Amino acid sequence: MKALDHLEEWLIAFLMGAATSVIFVAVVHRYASGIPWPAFQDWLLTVNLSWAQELCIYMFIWMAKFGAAYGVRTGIHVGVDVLINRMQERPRAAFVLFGLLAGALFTGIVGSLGAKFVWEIAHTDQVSPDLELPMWIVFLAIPCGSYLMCFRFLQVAWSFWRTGELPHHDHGHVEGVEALKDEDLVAYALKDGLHPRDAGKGGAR
Amino acid sequence: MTATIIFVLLFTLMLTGMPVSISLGLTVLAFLFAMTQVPIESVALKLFTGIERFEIMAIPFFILAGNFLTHGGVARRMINFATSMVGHWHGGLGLAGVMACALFAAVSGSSPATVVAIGSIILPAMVKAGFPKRFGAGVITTSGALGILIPPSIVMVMYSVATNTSVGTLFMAGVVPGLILAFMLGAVTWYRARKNRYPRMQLFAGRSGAQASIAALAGLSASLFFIAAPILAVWVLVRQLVPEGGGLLAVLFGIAWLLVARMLTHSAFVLRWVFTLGFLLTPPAVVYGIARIFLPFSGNALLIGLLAAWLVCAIPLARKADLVRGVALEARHEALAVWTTFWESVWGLLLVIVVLGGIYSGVFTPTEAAAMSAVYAFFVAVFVYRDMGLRQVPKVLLDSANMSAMLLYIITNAVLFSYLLTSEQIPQQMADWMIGQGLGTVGFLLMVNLLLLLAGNVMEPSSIVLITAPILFPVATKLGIDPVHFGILMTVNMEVGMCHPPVGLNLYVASGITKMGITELTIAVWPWLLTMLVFLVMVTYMPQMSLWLPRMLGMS
Repeated sequence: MKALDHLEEWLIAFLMGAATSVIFVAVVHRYASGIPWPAFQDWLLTVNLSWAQELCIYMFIWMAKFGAAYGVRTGIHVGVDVLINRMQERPRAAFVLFGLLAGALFTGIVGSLGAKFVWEIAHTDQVSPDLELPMWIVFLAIPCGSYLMCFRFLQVAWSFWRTGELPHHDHGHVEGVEALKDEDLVAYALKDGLHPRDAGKGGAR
Repeated sequence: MTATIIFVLLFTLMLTGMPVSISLGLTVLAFLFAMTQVPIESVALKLFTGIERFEIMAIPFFILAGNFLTHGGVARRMINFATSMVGHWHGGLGLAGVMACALFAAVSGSSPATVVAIGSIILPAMVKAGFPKRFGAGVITTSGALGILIPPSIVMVMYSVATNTSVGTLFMAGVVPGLILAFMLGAVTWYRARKNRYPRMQLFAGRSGAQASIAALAGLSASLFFIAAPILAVWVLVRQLVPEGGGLLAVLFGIAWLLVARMLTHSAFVLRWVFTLGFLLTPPAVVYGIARIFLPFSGNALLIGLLAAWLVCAIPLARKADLVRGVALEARHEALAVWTTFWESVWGLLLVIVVLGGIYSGVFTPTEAAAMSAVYAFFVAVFVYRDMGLRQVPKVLLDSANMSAMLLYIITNAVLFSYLLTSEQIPQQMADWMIGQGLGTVGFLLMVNLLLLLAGNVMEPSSIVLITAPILFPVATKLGIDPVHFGILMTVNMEVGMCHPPVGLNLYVASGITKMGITELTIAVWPWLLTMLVFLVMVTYMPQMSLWLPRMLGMS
């Protein structure tokens, strides 16, 4: 179970970083190959990066499908909870469970539809336009991601049933920001010590 | 009839509290399965092809860039810069908060992120400086909403995905309203601070407000002059000498100059000459710039004339007061503070140029600009400011992936939903019905505002835009409302929704930082929230406000 969690985290973080790098390299390449630089330019022109955009899109779709599953685990998928939060404990629990199971149902259905679709397309020889990857590999994100998400919904539902606790994503929490040291709070505490402290603390100079 | 069934189903599912994306998807599945002959296998394919567009990929990139900047201490430097600029006015740190939010909004595309980045630093500082907690919380919660109005903006990308409007034009259209809103929020802050006698930051004893303001402006113009003048000069020269590939040379020189310039900023000799030249050249340049924008003619004769006239007046003055030392000494304190903080935060400020300049000049597409800003932000956070180590990068990547996956998942399902609406021809029917009711443009816009404000009570912005835009947009087009104007209007509505309960995300973020209850925060924000409502009316009925800049740049 831990291994699956880690694999999921590494996969989406890697896809995020890789897609960014791919687009960065493609843009730099596009402008660098415009410089009339003997030999180097010829070499650059032989490199064809026209597939970068397609690769980026596919990477992000994979990231979106698996990231959505990770999001269920971290509780980032928000709903309209204004109404149910005003209810009594028991009916609220029932609605939360209903919501989680509905999520499992939806992702389960989509996963199955996707699996059927991938199975059909695997028997054709469709390939993607630029990368020429077999399309069934590309579309594999739908069944895999959806089934994983379905599993996560069931997992969260089970732990809610057992402990009554839901994962909760705190939008106000940013790593590193709360670790501010005291001197950061004094406006103007710049490294060079050119001056500034605020006048309230007798800082007239 | 079908429309009623679909929407009743959707709202019922939503009210049970399940994720918005799941309720959208289940509505489509249930409807297709029960009411039509459309094969539901097509749903799986749609879930993939729905987001198979390069424009959508700007969203993860902007989120990544924003996360690097939040972690990277860029916000802290921007706050220092803003404080040195406006801190000496009434409401000091509060005004600085508004300005820092506006600056950070220009590099980040999300409101809660802006509140976190600026608020977690400036709110404790404000309490320390003697402001009531409520005042600070009110200022930052509402100013943070600028994040989605001042480009880049994730909500605008969502709107453009839903309606096929150009992202670049929307971004440019957001600039002027964003600045006006920042100004209005600042004015309210100033007024309330003055009325209640809140502390100002008097950095240097015995300096009047006017002296401090003039000196701060001098510092700003010197900084801008020092950063821009050499690059502009080289650019003009290179264009004359090397017509082919000259642009790239100028860009390379610009980068080299930025690296060198930062080292020079500590030298007293450089400082003195920059101040003097800045003093001599800035006033005519400003007058010339304003004249170029507002008067139909253009010409170098004007610039040369202005320059000559100014020099004739200024040089005798200068000799009398010993300009070189006089100006530098008189303006020294605040100007030096502005100068220092400007150069500290310059790497963050330059990101604005990467994004907006890149898109406007056509160097990058919006998505590429987003990717470049992510790489740039990574570089600045890890290698320039070094507030973040390489070891924290995977965590930032994971957090950004989590957030983007959530948004992309909503988009996928919303695309599915709008596909269902379109195949049932619901938008057209609703458009005809609304126009049949005899709603004019004015009435329709009023209705849209009320609807969106209501929706802002229960849902978060991305979902609202993705669900309502496909329905409202056809009507707006039929009534002859400009798509870009309509997009800005929706964005401002979303801003208001984020700042009031029950689901305003900014409120929750601010409550997390200040440890204040939501009810207390709600009371704290009302003066600024009212201002935003006034601003909303202005945006709604003054399309020129949003359309002026893109038109002037020839984008729409």
